[in-house]
Amino acid sequence: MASENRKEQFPLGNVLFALALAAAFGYYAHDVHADARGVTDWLLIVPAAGIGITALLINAGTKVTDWYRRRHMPAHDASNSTSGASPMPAVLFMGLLTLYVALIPTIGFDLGSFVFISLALYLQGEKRWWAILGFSLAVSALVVMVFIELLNVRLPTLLI
Amino acid sequence: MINVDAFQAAINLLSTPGAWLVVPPGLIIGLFFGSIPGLSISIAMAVFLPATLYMDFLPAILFLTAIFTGGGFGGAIPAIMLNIPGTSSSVATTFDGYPMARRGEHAQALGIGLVGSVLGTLVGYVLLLLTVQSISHWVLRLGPTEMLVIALWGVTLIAVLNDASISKGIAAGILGILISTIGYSDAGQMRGTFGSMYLLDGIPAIPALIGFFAASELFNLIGKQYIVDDSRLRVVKFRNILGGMRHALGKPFQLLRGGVMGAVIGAIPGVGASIANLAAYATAKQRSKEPESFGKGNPDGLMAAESANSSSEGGSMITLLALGLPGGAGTAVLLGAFALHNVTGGPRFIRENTDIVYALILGNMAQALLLLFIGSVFIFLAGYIVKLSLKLMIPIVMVLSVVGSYAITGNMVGPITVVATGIIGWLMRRYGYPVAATVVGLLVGGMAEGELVRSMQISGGHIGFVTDRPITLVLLALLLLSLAPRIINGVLKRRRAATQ
Repeated sequence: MASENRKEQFPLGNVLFALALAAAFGYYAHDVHADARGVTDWLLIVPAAGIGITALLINAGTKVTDWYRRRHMPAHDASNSTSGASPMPAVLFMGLLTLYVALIPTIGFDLGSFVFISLALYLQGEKRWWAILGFSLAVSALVVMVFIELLNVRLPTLLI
Repeated sequence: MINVDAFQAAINLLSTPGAWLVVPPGLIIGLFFGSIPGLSISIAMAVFLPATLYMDFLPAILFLTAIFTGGGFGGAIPAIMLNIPGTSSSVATTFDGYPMARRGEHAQALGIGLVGSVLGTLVGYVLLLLTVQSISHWVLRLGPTEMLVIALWGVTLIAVLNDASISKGIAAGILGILISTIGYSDAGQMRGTFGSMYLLDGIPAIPALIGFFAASELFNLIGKQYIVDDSRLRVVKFRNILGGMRHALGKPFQLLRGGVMGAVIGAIPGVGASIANLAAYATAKQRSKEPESFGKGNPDGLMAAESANSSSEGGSMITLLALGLPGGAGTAVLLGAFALHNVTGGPRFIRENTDIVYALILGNMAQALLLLFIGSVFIFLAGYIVKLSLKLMIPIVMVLSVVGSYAITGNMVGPITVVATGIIGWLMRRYGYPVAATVVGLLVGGMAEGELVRSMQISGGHIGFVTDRPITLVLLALLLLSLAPRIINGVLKRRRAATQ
C-alpha cells in the first residue's frame, strides 16, 4: 500500500518554527541589551532568552535526530504534532480576520463586523445569500449596540 | 480563632432581607458576563460599580461579590464549551473540560464544574473565616525572593502539566515571559515596541489570552460542523448535569484538596489566582492513578481546577480585607467600592469592623449555595451551545472577542493582539507547543521581573542572600519537587525509545 511505502518526512515546519522563535528571542534580547540603561533592563530578559534559545535548539535538534534515526522507516501516523488536515481553511480564516481588524479603523465595527461575518459564513460553505445577509446584520448590529448602549464602550462605527 | 460576639453581630446584620435582594441579580450578571468570551468579571463589576453608590456598604459589597462569585463560575462555561478561559484563573479548566465537551460529556463537565466551584468557594471562605485575623502577618512575610520563586513556579508547573516535551514547555513559557516585558521598563527603557506608542504599556494580557486560547482553537475548528462530532451525543439533559454533580460530590477529598490549595495560593497578591488552579491541577495529576488521562478529559482534573480557582476568590479576599491590597482586577473594583463608601481595608478595618468582615464572609458562603441553584439553570441553557453549528458560532465568538478586546484596551491594540497571538497560538498548537505555558508566562512575567530586580537590589547581587530566607528555600524545594517526577519520566522515556 502507498502509505506503507511513505518514508518519514523531514519535520521542516517544526524545525523552522523552533529556529524562527529562537531567532526572535535572540534579536529581542540583543536589542534590549544594546539599548539598556542599566542591568535591571535586561536582568530577566537576557537569561530567559538564553534558556529559551537553548530549549528551542534542543527541540529542533531532537526532531532532526529522531527523523534521521527513522528516515528509512515507514511514516507513523499524524507525523508527530501536525494533525494531517489541510491548514488552508485555517490560513484563509486568519487572513480574513487580519483584514477585518485592519479595516476597523476605516469602516468601523458595525460595517466591519457585518462584512467579516458574511465572508466567514461564505468561506465555511454557506451559499444562501439571504441567510448570510440576515445573520450577519442581526449579529453585528446586536453586538455593536450592546457594547455601545449597555456597556458604554466608545466603539468606532460608520453607520450606527 | 473566631470572635463569637462579632459572629453573632454579623448574623444580625445579614438577617435584614434588603441585604439579600441584590444577590440573585448579582449572580446572574456575573454568570452572564463570565460566560461571554471577551467580557469579563472585572468589566461587569466596573459597569455595575456606580449602581452601588446609593446602597449601604454591606449590600453594595454583597452585590459586587455576587457578580464576582457568579463570574468566577461563569468563566468556566466558555472554558469547558469553547476552550476559552473567561479569566486567567480558569486556564486549567480548559485542560480537561474542553476534551470532555468534545467527547459529548459537556453536561457532566458543567455539572462537575458547578459543584467544584460552589464547594471551592465555600472552602475558600471557611478558611478566610478561620484565619482572617491572623493571616495578614503571614502574607506580609512574603518578600521579593518568595514572590519571584512563586512566579517561576507558576511557569515551570507547565513543564509538569503538558504532554509536550519539557523543552517545548520551557520555550513556550519563556515566550510568554518575554512578551510580558514588552513596553516601558521600570528604568524607562522602551523594549520591543518598534517605536509604537500603543505598545508603551505592553501587550494587554486578556486580549493575548483570548488570542492564544480562543482564536487559535477557532482556526483549528474551521471546516468542522459542530463542537461534538457525534450527533447522538449532542443532547442537553438535566440528568447528565446532575450526574456530573453527583460525580463531583462523590470525591469530597479531591474537592477539598483543590479548595485548600486555591485559597492558600490565591491569597498571594498578584499571581495567586492565576497559579492556584494550575498548582491544584498539577497535584491532582501527580496523585492520580491515571496521570496520562489528564488533558484528555479526566473529570478529576476539571474538579481540581474549578475548586481551586473558586476558592482563590476567598484567598484574594484575604489580602483585600487584611492588607487592603487587591489581588487582581476583580478585587481592585471591590477596593474601589470600599473607597466609594469611605472604607479602607487593612488590619485596623478587621479589628474595628469584625462583624462586617464576618458578615461579608458569611454572605459570600450563602451566595455560593445560591449559585448552585441559579447556576444549574444557567448551565442547562448554556449546554445548548453544542447544538449550535460551528459555521455560525465561529464568526460570533470571533466578533465578540475582537469587540471585547477593544473594550478592554480602548484602542486597536486589543484586536491586533487577538489576531497576532491567535496566529502564533495556532502555529504553536500545530507544532505541539503548550499555549497555556505562554499564557502563564505572560500573566506572571511582569511580576517576576519586578521581584527579580527588587531581590537583586535588596541582596546587592549576592545569591547567598536566599539562605537567610527560609520561606524562599521551602518554595524552591517545592518547585524542584514538583518538577522532578516529570523530568525523570521524560529522561526514562527517551532512553527507552532510543533502545527500541
